[in-house]
Amino acid sequence: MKILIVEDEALIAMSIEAVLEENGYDVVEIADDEASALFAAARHNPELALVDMRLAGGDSGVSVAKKLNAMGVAVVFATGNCPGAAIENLAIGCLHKPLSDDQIIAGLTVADAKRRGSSNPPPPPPGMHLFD
Amino acid sequence: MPLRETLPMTASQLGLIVEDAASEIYIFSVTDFAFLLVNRGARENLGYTLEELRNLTPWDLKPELSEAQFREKVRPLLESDSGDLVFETVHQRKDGSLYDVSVHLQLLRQDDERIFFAAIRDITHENTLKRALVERGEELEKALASREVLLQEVNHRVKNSLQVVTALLQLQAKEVREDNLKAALLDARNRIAVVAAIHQRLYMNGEHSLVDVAEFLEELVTATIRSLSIRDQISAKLDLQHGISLGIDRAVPLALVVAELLTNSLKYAFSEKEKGTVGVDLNSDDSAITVRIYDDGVGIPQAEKSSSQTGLGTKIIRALSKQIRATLSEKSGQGGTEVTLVMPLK
Repeated sequence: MKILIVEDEALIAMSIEAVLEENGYDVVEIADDEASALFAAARHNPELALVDMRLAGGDSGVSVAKKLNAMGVAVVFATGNCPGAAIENLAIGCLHKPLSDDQIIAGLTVADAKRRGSSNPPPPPPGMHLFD
Repeated sequence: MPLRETLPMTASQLGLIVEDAASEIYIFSVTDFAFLLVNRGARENLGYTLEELRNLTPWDLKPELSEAQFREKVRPLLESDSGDLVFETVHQRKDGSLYDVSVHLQLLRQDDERIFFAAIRDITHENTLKRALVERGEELEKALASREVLLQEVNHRVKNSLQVVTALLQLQAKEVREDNLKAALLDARNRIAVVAAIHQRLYMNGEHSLVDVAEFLEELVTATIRSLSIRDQISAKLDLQHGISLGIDRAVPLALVVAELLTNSLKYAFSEKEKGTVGVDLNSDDSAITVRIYDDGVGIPQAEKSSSQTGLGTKIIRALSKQIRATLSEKSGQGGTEVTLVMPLK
C-alpha cells in the first residue's frame, strides 16, 4: 500500500518511514507542510496518508486532511492530543503519539481494512481512536 | 425670544444656562469662603438647598480636606491674583454618602471684586472604570508572572529528563563489550546530549524559547572534541557572531546538523594526522544565518562516506537541513574540508 507521511519533525518522520518500509509499506514521500503534502499526493496517488495535526508554518493537519480526502486519499491522524469528537468524516481514526512500532503497524492495518470497507475489521490497538 | 437672535447673551441668560448645566458650579467668596451661588446640578447631587449651602464652605463638603488644607491649596491663586487649580477629591452629600470629584477652581476678578469659581465634575463612574482597569492590569501581570514560572519549571524538567536519557545511553554503552555496538550507543548518546545541551541553555538563561546560536555552537565544539577524546590533538578556531537568536524549533535541528558535520570532520579528518585545527564561523544578516565548518585534515575518505555509521549521519544531515530549509555546500581536498550551511531566516 502506498503511504504519504505528513509530519514536520524530520527525524520522527524518518523513523516512521523506516518502520513502515520494514513492514512492506511503500512510503511515497515525507511532506512537512500543506503545500508539499498536496503536491506529493497529486504526484504519487497514495492510498493512505498519516497526517500529524500540527505542521510546519502553522499549517493545520485538519485542513490538509480535508483536501487529501477530496483527492481520494484516506487519512489517519497522528498527534499528541487526539480530538475527542470525530472530525466530520475527515479521517478513519487517530493514532496517539508517541507511537511504538507495533502501534503504527497495527493501526495502519486496521485503517486499511476500514478503508476497503471490510465487514470485519480488526479492533484498533491501544493508542488508536477510530472515528465511525 | 429664541437664543440665537439675542446674541450677545445677557448676564441673566447666561446665569439661567449655568443654573441648568450638568456640571456642578460653585461660586464662593474670597473673604470667608462661604458659598454665594451654587447651581442646580450641584444642589441636586449634594441634596442641600441654596440657603443651606450659603452657610457652608468648600471644606465642609470635602471630608478629605480640612479648612487649613483648603486655604493652603488656594493660597497660590490668591497670591498671584490669578490662575486656576485642578485637583481630585471627595464630596460628601447631605445624607453622608460620598462621591469622587474633579475640581477646576478659578479666581475671577470683576472690577475690584474677586470671586472663586469652581466647576466640579462627578467622576465616580470614571474612577470605578479606572479601578477596574488597574485591577485587570494587576491580574494580567500576576498571570504573566506565573506563566513565566511555569515555563521555567517545564524547561527545568525537560532538561533533567534529557540528561537522564543521555546517562542511560552512556551506562548502556559501558555495559556492552562489542566495539561496534559500543560506538553506536555512544553516537546515539552524543546526539541526544546535543538536544539536552540546548535545553540546558534555555533553562540557564532564563529564556523560555530562544537560544543564542554562538553560545551553543561554542559549547558544541568543546563537547564534541571532548567526547571524541582528542583534546590534545585538535585546536578549535571559533569566529562566532553573537546576538543571533533562534527558537528551539530551529536551534535543535541546526545544532544536530552542525554536530554531525563536526563529528565527521573530527573522526575522519585527523585519522592520519597527529594534530590539526577545526574551525567554525558563524554570521548572519537579515535574510540568513551562515555556518561554516572547516578543518585542515586529510579530507573525508570515500570509503568512510559509504559506511553505515556515516549513512545515518548523512541521513540526519539531509533530513534536518531540509526541515530548517538550509542548503549545504561542501569543498574537500588535500588541504582539508569545508562545509557551508545557509539557513534562511523567515
